[in-house]
Amino acid sequence: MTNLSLQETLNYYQSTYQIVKKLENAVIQKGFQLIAPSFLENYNRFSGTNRKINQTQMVKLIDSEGNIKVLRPDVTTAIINRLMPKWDNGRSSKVFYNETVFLNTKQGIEEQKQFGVEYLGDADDAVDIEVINLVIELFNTYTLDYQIEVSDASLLKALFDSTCLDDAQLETLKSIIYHKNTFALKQFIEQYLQAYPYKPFISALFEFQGSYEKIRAQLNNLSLPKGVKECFDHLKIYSDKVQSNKITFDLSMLSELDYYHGVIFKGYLQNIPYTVLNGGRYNTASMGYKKNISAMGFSLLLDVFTKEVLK
Amino acid sequence: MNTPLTIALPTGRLGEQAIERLQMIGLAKNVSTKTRKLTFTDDANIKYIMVKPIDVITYVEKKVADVGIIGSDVILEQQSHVYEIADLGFGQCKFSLAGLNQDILKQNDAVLTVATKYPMVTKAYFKKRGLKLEIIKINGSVELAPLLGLSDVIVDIVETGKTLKANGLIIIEDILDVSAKAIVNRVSYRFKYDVITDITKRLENSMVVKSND
Repeated sequence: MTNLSLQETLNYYQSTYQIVKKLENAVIQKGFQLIAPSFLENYNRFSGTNRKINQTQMVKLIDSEGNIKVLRPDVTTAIINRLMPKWDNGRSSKVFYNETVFLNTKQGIEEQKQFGVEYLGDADDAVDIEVINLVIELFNTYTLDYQIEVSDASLLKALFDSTCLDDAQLETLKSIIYHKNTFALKQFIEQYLQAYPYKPFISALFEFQGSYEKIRAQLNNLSLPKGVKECFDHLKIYSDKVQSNKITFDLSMLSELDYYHGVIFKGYLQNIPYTVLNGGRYNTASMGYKKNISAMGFSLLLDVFTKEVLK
Repeated sequence: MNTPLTIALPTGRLGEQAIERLQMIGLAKNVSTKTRKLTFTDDANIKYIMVKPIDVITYVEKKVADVGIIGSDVILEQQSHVYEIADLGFGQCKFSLAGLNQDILKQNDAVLTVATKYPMVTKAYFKKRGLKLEIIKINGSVELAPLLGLSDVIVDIVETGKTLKANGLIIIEDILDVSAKAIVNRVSYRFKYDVITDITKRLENSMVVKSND
């Protein structure tokens, strides 16, 4: 194996630039405007806003006055931190970004390029569908073999609310669901949910995936916790209006980020071993702001995406 | 277009049991551990790769293999993001805490030294107990550690307890059960859901047949 020559290296950067430019043009045509939030965030505010981001993964810096800063590990939170103080009630904004995030990993500090959009201010099904269709359009532009997994973050929250589990037990249950650990779920139900009225539903949780119609047939005649049926019924609109046959609904889909409260989705590419795209609906109140602005967005791992396109 | 399914199997006794179970459901007919060959493709066009047990998760997490069969001891220690979709019911043993005598945990406020191949499992187990702890990671012959004064106790996998007994050690506490699991890469799970769930369900059912024999 030989190293790339200078010209080959420059050609590589030119090719990746063209891919990114095409992504940017696609979202600009849909009315999204570029935003470039700060690299540095106040550590206390950032970790308070986004409790799910592992604090050991944050890259911390100390300024000359002893204040702890963090090199942002997530762009969405940084955008919200930038826009919320200036936000006028009743407005809506469509922004996109092409930014780097930083994470402390076992291999050292990792830089990750992310491309994404945030649609702020309009809590509307049409917005959700527009954003998911935009993802599909981006994948289709490069004729990539993709799958998109869709659920509603409120569905599992409704399930958790219907139990009498304490915080530690809930964390265990979330870990079991995150790993789709069928055996551990069975043991957990036997240990903690013997008298739970919706035992048939939770016992079969990992089987509720596929097309909307398939899941609807599975749920037929099952007693569901309060709120679960409403969340599931609401998913029908994505089955009807999202323009792709590569959508799979998965009711046991658990997001790594706890600020989502409506539709959530993940994008997978055939040749990439992990999730390349995460998205969903959230509101800023759940991120610690007094103003409650509803928002919808997604984030794409740009480096792996461009590498896949260039293959 | 989906590529054929690839299954990572561990070398050693657990791998032999996994092959036996796969053959019970009509798969992996030509797969054998009695050869130096490390990759096989069977009649159903499923590819099998034989790797060290500790590497099975890596191959699955990196999607070189879609599915892996591995003991839950390795899964618990490596804390990966793979799905654990089935318990296959073989390779059963347990994590145990062992030492020279039962009273070793009743020592005063001194630091308890624990030798183990499984530092993550050990750390999680002792977290609840509030003991001062030093975990010493070693890679083999863990039973030697208390005998030679390297540690007060050990945390290790125990199948029959004969090795402990032969070295004058006793089980102080059992920590948790271990058995073989089917793990799946998250992306493979989405792209090959039907074939993966079909095979793992058949493997689970074969466990019932085997236990009724």
